[in-house]
Amino acid sequence: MNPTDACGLQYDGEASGGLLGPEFRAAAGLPVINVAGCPPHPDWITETLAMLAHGRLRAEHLDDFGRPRFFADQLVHHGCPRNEYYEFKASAEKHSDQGCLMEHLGCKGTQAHADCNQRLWNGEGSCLRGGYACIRCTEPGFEEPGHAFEATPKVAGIPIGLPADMPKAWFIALAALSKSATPSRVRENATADHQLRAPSVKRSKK
Amino acid sequence: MNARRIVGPFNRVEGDLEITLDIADGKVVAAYVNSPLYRGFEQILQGKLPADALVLVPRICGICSVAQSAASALALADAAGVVPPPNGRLAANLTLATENLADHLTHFYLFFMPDFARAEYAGRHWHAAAVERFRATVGSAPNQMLPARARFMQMMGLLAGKWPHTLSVQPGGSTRPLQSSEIFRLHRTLREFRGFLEAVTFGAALEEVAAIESRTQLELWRAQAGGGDLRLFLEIAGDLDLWQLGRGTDRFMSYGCYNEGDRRLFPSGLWHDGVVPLDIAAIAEDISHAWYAAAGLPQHPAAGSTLPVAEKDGAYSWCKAPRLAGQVLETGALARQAVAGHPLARDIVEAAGGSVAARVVARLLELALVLPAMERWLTELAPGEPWCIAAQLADETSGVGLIEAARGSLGHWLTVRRGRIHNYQIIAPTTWNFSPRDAAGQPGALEQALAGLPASAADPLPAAIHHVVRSFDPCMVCTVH
Ligand code: SF4
Repeated sequence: MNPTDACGLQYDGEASGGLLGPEFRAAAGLPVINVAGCPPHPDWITETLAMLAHGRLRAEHLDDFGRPRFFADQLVHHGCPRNEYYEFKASAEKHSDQGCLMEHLGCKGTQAHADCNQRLWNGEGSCLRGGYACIRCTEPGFEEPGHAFEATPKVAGIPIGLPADMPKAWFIALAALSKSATPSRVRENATADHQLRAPSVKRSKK
Repeated sequence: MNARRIVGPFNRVEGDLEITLDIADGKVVAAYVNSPLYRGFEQILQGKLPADALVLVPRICGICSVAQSAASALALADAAGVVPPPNGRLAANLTLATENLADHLTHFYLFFMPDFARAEYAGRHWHAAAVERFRATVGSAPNQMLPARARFMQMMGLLAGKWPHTLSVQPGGSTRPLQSSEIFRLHRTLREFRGFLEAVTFGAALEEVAAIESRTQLELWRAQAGGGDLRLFLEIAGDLDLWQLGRGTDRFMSYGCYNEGDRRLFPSGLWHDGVVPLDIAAIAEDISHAWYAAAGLPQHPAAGSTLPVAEKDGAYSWCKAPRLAGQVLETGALARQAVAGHPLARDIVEAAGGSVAARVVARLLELALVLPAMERWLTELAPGEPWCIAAQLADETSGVGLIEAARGSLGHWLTVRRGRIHNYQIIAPTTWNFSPRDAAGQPGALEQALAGLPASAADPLPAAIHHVVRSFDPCMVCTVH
């Protein structure tokens, strides 16, 4: 539903065009720069402007959707503190659980282009650090996912949205393998809101 | 000489605002406040899954995003019949308080004070100080305030993941459990912000400001040494008589906020020559002067509709006109403190009603009142205890979420049918304050506050008009949503 016919300046969703048309170039020769995100990280805006002011932002520094590559060539998944839970498919089942949010709670961090878990928000935050799923708000069309934002759509138990660049067969095989190898520490902590078990301490043999 | 002037678009205001002034005999005889931008959130929400409202509604606004989340979470909690555990309640208080205090600070330093650096005030004894502190982009105050605000907003990184547009605020509590060491980091952030407020804004301990009980005491306090930007404002307010400027309806409403279990830090009510309980059922939105298709009489928001029409006789705004039992109300920090019974706020409104100075002082007073409450809430958090419980919604249900945003009373009314949002109506604080006329011809709160101000048909409009408009701290994107 789009009651005001809102659209992007040079994209309408994934389709190039938008308000100004695909051919539009500004006086300096650049297409519209999409500092994506709802909202964009303030640094993405200020760094884009700084790079423009210093003549350091050229067409090759923009990705396929016109997003500055300095943040769009990363995935939200990179640097997420839930990475160990992801590795072992030890998943959060409800709000405030510590596990990975991909399997049940709708996280799209493995597909969303942004550096939220490396640059961090408001000092030391991100959606995942805040305990809720990445809704891929830097991607076109994120606002109508076709399913509940905080639920993972699945077919035969497999999440439909697979990690970027990951072949499906591999994902299924690895998920099955890592689930069978999940350490009990990781499995138990995944569905708790605080650490139940700490990583074990080993002494070197003398 | 009679004339009509259109003022706007206003800068230093969130969103779009235009005001039409009818001027005669050197005065504003009538003001018409226009919110020129329609957004469509209430339409977008129809047919969506109820929990998805938590993703959509914060995006109404980039400055009071958490307030929208909090109202939505409360409406969903009401519909699901759940009450969050104490940790969840405290985290919601802390998140909302962080946003509200940051908004008060931003309003004072960036939106409101720069008007006193205008050239028309050259010659006033305080003008040089106002220019040095507040002139837009070059004043010394924003350069102190902005880093302090950014550090304070780091509360949000830990408490809520990020700001704006967090999803940590849920009907069942908070998705962000905090550990002890993180709570100490939050204490540190609050301590730093307290340091800024006491050194720069107040030149006094917060408790000293919070204990001021009357206008007389406030003037005595101002005369003391100590400096700080509040004292500079009080000096200006006295010289320009801002205590008499911009009187509105003198009917003040607050939904109450900051849940402390069996009570609210600031209780709800209606103040007009004294406090009476608030009758939420008496709220109705009138659309006689707004661009919406008429659905008969003014409707209670639970049964309200949003049907935009491009042309309509007599309409001049996208803002509806909410009324309580047919009355025009003012909402905001002054209303909240007058209703809650803070002695200074009561003394001010009993003596001279609402005014530019009263509204500004009430906001700064809240900085002094709420920060110590935040310190207390942090000590009440209990790591290891639950933060969030499940909230299961029936397929047919309804709920109401009423909270106080920085700018005043914010309400969300939700109806669910067959598991989907059937109706979602929002009344934002500025919808009350900046409403157009109703069917009875009663002007809205700002429209009343502007009538009678000196103005000329040809000369530049006096700064006083800007002071009055900005004293309400309008948020236009929320107004029409
Ligand atoms: S929660 Fe999301 S971003 Fe974090 S590890 Fe899991 S999939 Fe990656």
